[in-house]
Amino acid sequence: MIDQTSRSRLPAGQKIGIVAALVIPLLVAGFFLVIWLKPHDGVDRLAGLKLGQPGIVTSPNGLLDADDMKSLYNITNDGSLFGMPMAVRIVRVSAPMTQSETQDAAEEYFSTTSIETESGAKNGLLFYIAVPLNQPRAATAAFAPGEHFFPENGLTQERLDRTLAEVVQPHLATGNYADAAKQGAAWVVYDQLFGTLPRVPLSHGQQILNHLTNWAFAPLIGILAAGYVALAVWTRRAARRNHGRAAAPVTSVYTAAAIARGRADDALPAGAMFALFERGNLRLSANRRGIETGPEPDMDDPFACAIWERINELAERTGGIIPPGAIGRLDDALAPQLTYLRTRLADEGQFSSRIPALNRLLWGIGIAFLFVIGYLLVPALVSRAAAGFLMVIVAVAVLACITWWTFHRSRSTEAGIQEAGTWLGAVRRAALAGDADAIATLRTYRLILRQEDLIADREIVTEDYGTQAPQFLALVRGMSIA
Amino acid sequence: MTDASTAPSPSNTTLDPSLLKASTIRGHWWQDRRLWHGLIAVVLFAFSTGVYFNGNETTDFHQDESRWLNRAHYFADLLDPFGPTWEDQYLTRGQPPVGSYVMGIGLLLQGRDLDTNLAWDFRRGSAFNMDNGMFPSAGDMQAGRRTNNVLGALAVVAVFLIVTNLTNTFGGLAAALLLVANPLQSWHNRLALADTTLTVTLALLLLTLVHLMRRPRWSFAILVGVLVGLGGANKFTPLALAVPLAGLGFLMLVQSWWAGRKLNDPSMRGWKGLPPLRDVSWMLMSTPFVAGFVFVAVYPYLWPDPIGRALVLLRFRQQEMASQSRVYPDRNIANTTEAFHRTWDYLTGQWSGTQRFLDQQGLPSLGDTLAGLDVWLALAGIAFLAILAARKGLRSPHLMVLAIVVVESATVVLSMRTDFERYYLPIVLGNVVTAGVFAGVIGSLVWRLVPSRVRHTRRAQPSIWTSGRPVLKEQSGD
Repeated sequence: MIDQTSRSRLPAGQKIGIVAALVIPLLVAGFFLVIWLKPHDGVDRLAGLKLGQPGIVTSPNGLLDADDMKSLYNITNDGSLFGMPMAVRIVRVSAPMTQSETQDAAEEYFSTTSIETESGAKNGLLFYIAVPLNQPRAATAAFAPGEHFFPENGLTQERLDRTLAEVVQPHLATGNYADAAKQGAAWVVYDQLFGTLPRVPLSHGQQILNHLTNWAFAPLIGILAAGYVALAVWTRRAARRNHGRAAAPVTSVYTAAAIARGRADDALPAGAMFALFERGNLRLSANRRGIETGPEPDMDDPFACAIWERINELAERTGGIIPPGAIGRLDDALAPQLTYLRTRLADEGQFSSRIPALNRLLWGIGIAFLFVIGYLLVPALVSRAAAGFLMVIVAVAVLACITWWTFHRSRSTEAGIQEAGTWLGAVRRAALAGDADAIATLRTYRLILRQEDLIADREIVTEDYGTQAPQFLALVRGMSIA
Repeated sequence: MTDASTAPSPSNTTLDPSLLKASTIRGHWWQDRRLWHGLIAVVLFAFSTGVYFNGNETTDFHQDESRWLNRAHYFADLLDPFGPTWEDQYLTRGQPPVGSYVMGIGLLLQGRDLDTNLAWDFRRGSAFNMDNGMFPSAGDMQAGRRTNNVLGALAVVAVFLIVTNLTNTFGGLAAALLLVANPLQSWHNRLALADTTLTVTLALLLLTLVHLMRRPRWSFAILVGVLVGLGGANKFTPLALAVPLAGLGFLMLVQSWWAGRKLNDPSMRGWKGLPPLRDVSWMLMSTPFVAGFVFVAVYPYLWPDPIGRALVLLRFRQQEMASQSRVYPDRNIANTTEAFHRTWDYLTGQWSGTQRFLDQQGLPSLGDTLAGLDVWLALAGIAFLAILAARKGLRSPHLMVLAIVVVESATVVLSMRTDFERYYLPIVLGNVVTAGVFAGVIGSLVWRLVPSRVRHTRRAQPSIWTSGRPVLKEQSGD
């Protein structure tokens, strides 16, 4: 029967916090998913189309030669391929026309001719050139866009006007209306494809939200990011407050290596296993594929003994030998021994006992901050608020950097480092005096301290432990085979 | 067989001086291979930059240079991510932006502004484009080309480091020199295009993967995802690389889970027998997510609708390729078989590094005869890499490099509908890497013929595995 009294009861505030922590990101994610996954039935303005009318017509026939007609056909066809219904009409008129008369004539022509993708769409563009009889230098031109022609990608009324003034009219002034038509049409299709779109105007609601995001939310996120940095700085100082506390003398190579690394991680059990192999307390099985335990280690080091005992326990459970396929998970199975070492390091003042708690504080506040950032992202995207969005990027970068730092900060206290230094000095002196144990201890120390480098640089491990050592070390760490 | 537990270990009674310095691995600086590799990398960088730089002035203008230099302003427009540049329009849709960013950064670093030429319109003739400001200024074009000279040299260094890590220095040098000698890569490194950016991105991806498999850590894993995402935001096809990476990660996860079951220990770290998050399997499986995030994050066009607009991009690229095959019927590729044939013909002919090298030495007939050597070396290298991967196991860098080279090359060939030269560049990169592996393995075999006393100038140490060798399941392939 389950003991009901042993169940932990969370305060209501914490329950609400947990529910909020789960619901808020789900709501934010849901918001984006709904927006992203809903079908977008907007018109693709770059999709090709077919125009019912011919791209180029002259009245009368023969105003342009065949090459010019072909060129203009190709240009208008290029427009159609990328979604622009455009036609060119060159008309002979009896007398010169003013610009406004030409514009009126173009619009009149446009209204009576179906230059559009479908009847009534009014989404086409007419490029109209009026050439007076025997007076080609007096030719005039106009563009007549349909009511629904704009927006047409990069083509705007301003660009049409500029093409008319700067490209078409200079050619017309020389009497070369064919070049005026070709160059003008070419620039129209060029602007349609390569001209930058005008800035999309914001709705009234977007303008308000944009202003609010850029001038209120973004600075708020900036302040919160600065506050988070300040909190990280504070935790760094707070972690040092117990540095004045004395640390117990270092007596073990594993303790010294953990202090030198600044953390107690999988390099320590791996180093202990190698030391045990070297002393014969661990060995390869008869078929040289598994690991079996040798005699119980005759040493004082509690960590190495705990590792041996654990491997022995695992080996007994698996028929006396750790099977080869399971060696890659040994590091996970040795986690309790690592926890023991961490606890001992903290208890003896060699590791700061505050840092884990301070890290948890930073992570908790960081997660809350991330939710706030997520909420800013929504109005920033909806209202196209660049400052708000850039502040989101800055804040996420700050969060990422500080999180990375929390995972890599050293847990060693200054007193612990001093004690490790004292231990190392003594071992070095003994090694120089020719003490074989001290030399082996130093080698284990190096194996732990620079383990990742040694795995990557197989030569050193090979020299110390043999040609198969790098592979085995990597395997024990659950890493690649180097 | 001598039992390891009782075997005397002479190393216990001698003292390596380096042991006294915990912070150093080596006793003497000249014994540090990393130092020598660094020096070789610097020399290779200087040499290849010089080689590429020398050809800048004499390389003909490529119309695509106009487009990439035109879009250099995209880099500055990142500060206005909701601005007009990132609306749905032809240029923004047509090419992902990373190549444009690189051009922009290159121009800015060389003191030029981002207000360059208009975009070249391929629908019009050269006269229209030349007369209307679509031709880049000489200063911009040379600055863009110099940018790629440097990136190309970085790719050479990366290739050296990849193959050196996989085999040895000889293999690394061979691969680097093959890349420098390749006429297709050299040509593109002297043009202001985005293809060199792709080459260097893929080379850095391979190098990062090698390091990730050697020293699994989340920083490398995230960097792998970032490089796949950046590669995708440059030329799309690298996004396909996320699939084999995640797939191999999944296999490793299953392998770890199975290994955990064998230990039969409920107190083991990890949830439900799965390995904890620091296992490389999780790291590799994160690649599609990180790559997808980076792909969207660096491309503001996608922000309003990442999924919908990404699909628009892919469809648009397919339309563009179909359009190109209509415009250039002589380059049209009907099917995958033809794509393979064309790839083979080009890489064993026009774009053969061996042939160009022998031509330059005044041996054109020998060059014709040996033109296919590049590809044959690469194929032999793939076979060697596969053998190494099989021997070293699922978690080896060799398998990762093999998977990336094969998948990237296959993706390029399978998606090819028009045979523009630049499409072959990722295949060339894979070829030089695998050819370098071949050279490295052969070099290593030859080195073994050298008498042992010459090879081992350093103090020999006995092994704790005193006789025979441990046969690990992962190695035996059981």
